[in-house]
Amino acid sequence: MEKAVILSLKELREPEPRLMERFDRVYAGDEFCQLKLPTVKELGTLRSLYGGKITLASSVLTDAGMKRFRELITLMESWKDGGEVVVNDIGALSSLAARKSAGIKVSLGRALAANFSSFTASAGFARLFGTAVSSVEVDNRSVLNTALNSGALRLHLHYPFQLLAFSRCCYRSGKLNSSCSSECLKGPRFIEVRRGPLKDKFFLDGNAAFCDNSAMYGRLGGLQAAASDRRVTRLVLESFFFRGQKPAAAGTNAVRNR
Amino acid sequence: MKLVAGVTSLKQAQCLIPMGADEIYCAMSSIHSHRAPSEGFRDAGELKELAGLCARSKKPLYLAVNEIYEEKGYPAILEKTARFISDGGTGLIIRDLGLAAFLRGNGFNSPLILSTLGFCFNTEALKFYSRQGFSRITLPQLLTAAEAGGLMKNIGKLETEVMYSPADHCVNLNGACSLHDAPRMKSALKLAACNCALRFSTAGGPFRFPALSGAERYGSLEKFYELGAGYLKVPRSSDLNLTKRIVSEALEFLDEMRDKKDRKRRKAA
Repeated sequence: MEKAVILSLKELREPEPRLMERFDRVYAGDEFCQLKLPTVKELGTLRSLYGGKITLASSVLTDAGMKRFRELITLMESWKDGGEVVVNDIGALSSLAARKSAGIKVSLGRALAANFSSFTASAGFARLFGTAVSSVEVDNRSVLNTALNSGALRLHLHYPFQLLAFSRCCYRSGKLNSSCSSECLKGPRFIEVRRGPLKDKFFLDGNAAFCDNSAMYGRLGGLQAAASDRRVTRLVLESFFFRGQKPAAAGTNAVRNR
Repeated sequence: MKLVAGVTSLKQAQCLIPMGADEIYCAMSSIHSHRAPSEGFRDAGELKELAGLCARSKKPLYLAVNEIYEEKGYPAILEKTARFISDGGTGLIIRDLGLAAFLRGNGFNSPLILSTLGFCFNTEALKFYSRQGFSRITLPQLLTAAEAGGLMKNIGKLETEVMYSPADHCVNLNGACSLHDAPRMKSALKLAACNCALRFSTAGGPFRFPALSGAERYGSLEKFYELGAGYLKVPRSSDLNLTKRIVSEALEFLDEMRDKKDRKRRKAA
């Protein structure tokens, strides 16, 4: 089973040369914010630094985002092994399916998998995208159950977070993504929302909110058991986790006070 | 731009059609429609009466079937929706691509509108949905008119619909937000606003989920009007007074936009 790490924007811009000593694959980009797509140059740098095991993570995309996405796909098509793309946009997915990009593997992203729900296990899904999509990013029990039922897709399990919600407004700046000034480069990547009217704490990263996903691993009999399930081909970790850090440092004032 | 009003009862339609609603949509409580079942029609007879009212008033009537369903449930949905059409309904609002294909493959030829939950954010997505047999696309609330300019130019024969967002606006992407399901600390808070509207705390201070301001939402609607979006949608609510107020506001907005357009035309002439 592969072990992958999701790079933060900071790690994308200042990549660690020795990262691949601990991981088999890196995720560059972001599943929830199109402004965190790498540039063509950044993706090329990662490729030369880390070799072929690069996954481009992409979010829902406006026309402007699609333009950048297409440039990155063109670059990836020039790679011998093509690389892999995590897709959360129906336009991007249909475009990749139609393009039949040689060597590029497509994984259904967490937002799209949750939105498609049981559709991914249907004959209709197989008819529309079956040959294009080879795997699904899984971070919660509901998608896990659907994916296990579908049988056809390989599972990439995320740890330790599951998506709770995402917006197109940045949670840190309060502004729409299109007026971003890279607030996520300032301070820790995740902000812990520790006190509030909800039972469980949750974490903010840019325009996405996450919570602990240990319940999903309970369904698989724990992390170790999940790792030995033959349908699970990859474990995808947040980078703070392997560094032995907590998701968010206390005392940050990176969240705009309201 | 025409006004589409959601209704949860025949009585609501009887109020909103004379007010100026150009099109009506509703749901059946027996088909999950992304809202509480109580906001759908329980009584088939009442739904038939609604279809009759809309037909007499020459107002199209659409049925929201806008969730993802198990494949085994498709035949039952086909049966219910075919009955809705034969009773005088116009078409369906859906998001489930599998259901769309099933309906089309089984002789359902009435118009399909893509729900706002279909995540149509770009021109490629628009073309894809067009190929799947949708005739109208409801754009996501979090796609601004400034971002949708290219998409609106490539619309072809498709129609577009936007939500009346000054009155109804989700902070997070509708269709990918499970905050509504998150358990709250105290049962009394169940009566509070939805979770994403609550006040939270971080080590750095208080936190609320941000949203586009009223002015931003209104400004974006104005631009969508100028870009040629065909329909303005007011969502369903079982609170008739609230719905009437929002429909009134939306009609005022449309009047204002038509006046503005006339003034521009006169000035140009």
